[in-house]
Amino acid sequence: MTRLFRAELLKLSTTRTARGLLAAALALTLLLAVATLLTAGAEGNAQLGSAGNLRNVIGGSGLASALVLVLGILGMAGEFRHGTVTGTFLATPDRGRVVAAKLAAYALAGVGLALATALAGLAVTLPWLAVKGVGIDLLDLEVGRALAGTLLVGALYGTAGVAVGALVRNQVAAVVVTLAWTQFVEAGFVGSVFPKVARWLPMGAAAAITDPGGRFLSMWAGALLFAGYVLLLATVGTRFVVRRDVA
Amino acid sequence: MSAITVERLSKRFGAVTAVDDLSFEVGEGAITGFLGPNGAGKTTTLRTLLGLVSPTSGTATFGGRPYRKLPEPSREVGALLEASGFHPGRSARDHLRVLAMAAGIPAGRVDEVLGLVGLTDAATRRVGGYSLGMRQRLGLAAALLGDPRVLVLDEPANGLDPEGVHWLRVLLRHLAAEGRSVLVSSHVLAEMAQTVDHVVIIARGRLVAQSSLAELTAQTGQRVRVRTPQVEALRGALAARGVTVEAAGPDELLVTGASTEAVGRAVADAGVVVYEMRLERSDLEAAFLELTTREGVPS
Repeated sequence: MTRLFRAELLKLSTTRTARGLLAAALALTLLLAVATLLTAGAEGNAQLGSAGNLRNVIGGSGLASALVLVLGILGMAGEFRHGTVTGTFLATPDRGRVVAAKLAAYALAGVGLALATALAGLAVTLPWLAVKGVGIDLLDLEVGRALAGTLLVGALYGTAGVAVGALVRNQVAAVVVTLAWTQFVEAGFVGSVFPKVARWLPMGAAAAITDPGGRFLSMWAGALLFAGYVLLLATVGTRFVVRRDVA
Repeated sequence: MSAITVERLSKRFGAVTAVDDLSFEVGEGAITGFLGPNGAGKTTTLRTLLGLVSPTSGTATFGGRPYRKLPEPSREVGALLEASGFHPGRSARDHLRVLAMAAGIPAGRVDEVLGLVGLTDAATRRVGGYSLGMRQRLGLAAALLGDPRVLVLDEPANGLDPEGVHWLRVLLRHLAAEGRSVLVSSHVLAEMAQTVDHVVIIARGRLVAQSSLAELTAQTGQRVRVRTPQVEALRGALAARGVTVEAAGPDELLVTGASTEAVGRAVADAGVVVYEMRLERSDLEAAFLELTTREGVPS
């Protein structure tokens, strides 16, 4: 199992896909952090240096998680796109183990990407606050929870991406279906028509992890619910990959 | 024991039967050509053999075990399946490093196989820039990674230039000489005729012939050309023996389906004068065409 996990990490590190998505996530996080800091305290936004403000800076408004999701999809569906799945399954005919190793590897990749963006956000914020003379307590429980939540979301989104890629083996279709679901079905339609239902759907549950309470569930309820969705997707996706012919 | 045994294998995709009750064996230490026209079911058979496609019925085994039950498959069976199985953004060396890692093969073996297929100088280049021939070489390197006793190669000569095809022939002969068993598919027979020891020919998913190359060319399309001034007398004598005879000129007959010995005896019995008698061996191409069209398959 370890060698399969390491093989998946080697695959990740030997193409430019992961590096490109990381660069994009860092650039966008920095932009968003600056925007968050500039607009802090205005029009109902969290006050500069407050827990809510720091949470937005660390979490990058879920931006990193969207890119982690894409990374996971490309990691699984890309094997079918490029035909590398043939060599992968020839080396390891037990396909269930291959998918399990991939789920684990992309959970780690998701944590890594989330950590990198959180640190990038803090790297802009801390000097900014120092210049503005706003004192903050980095050991504050809220900051710790925000960071832990961001990393957990990264891990779960990486896993979810692999699961979606296993279910929808065409990588373009997989990305389009995912974006359509997250942006239009869940955030758009259900969010505006049935707002009380939205918190129980996957993205709503994931949002509770970094932004608990209010219109979302509590952090733990959201984490458990989202993990449940990911587990379901991963189980069905794995069965698909194990049973279908690789023609 | 056979290196590969395929028994009553069938695979249907919806209404299409790609492989139909196919049985054949691949002997150890020899090169077996797996031949058939395009669409005959060669690739489906090989993918089923390698556990990538589930058979509708029947079995395919390596030394008695299906591929998916082999404890270390890459060390027992090497396979080359298609030229497109690479991520264009990954270098050849990294591609092989990934496979070696997953199969538990020491990383040092990667540079060995790159040398073996002549890709050492291009090893760090991204595969997206490779020619088809270079991809085939990389595919062969991947197949050889685990130093396997059995090789399954699907159209390995595709995309190789004449020099590359020659190189492939020499490599295959070298691998067989080391005691490895090789099953190599092709739809171009000329490139295989000089290389294989045995042939398995399929058409429309069914077995058409399985034999040694020598037997095949002997039993199919072998003709005896006889020059005699007594054409009609000899024709009658041969026809009485149930042999197909046709006129090939004013004083020549072409006899199909009989050995020179049988023709010689007919000549003696009929007491005719013969100026010349010659055995015409057809090549693999002719044998192949004859066998696959006999089944009613246009090739």
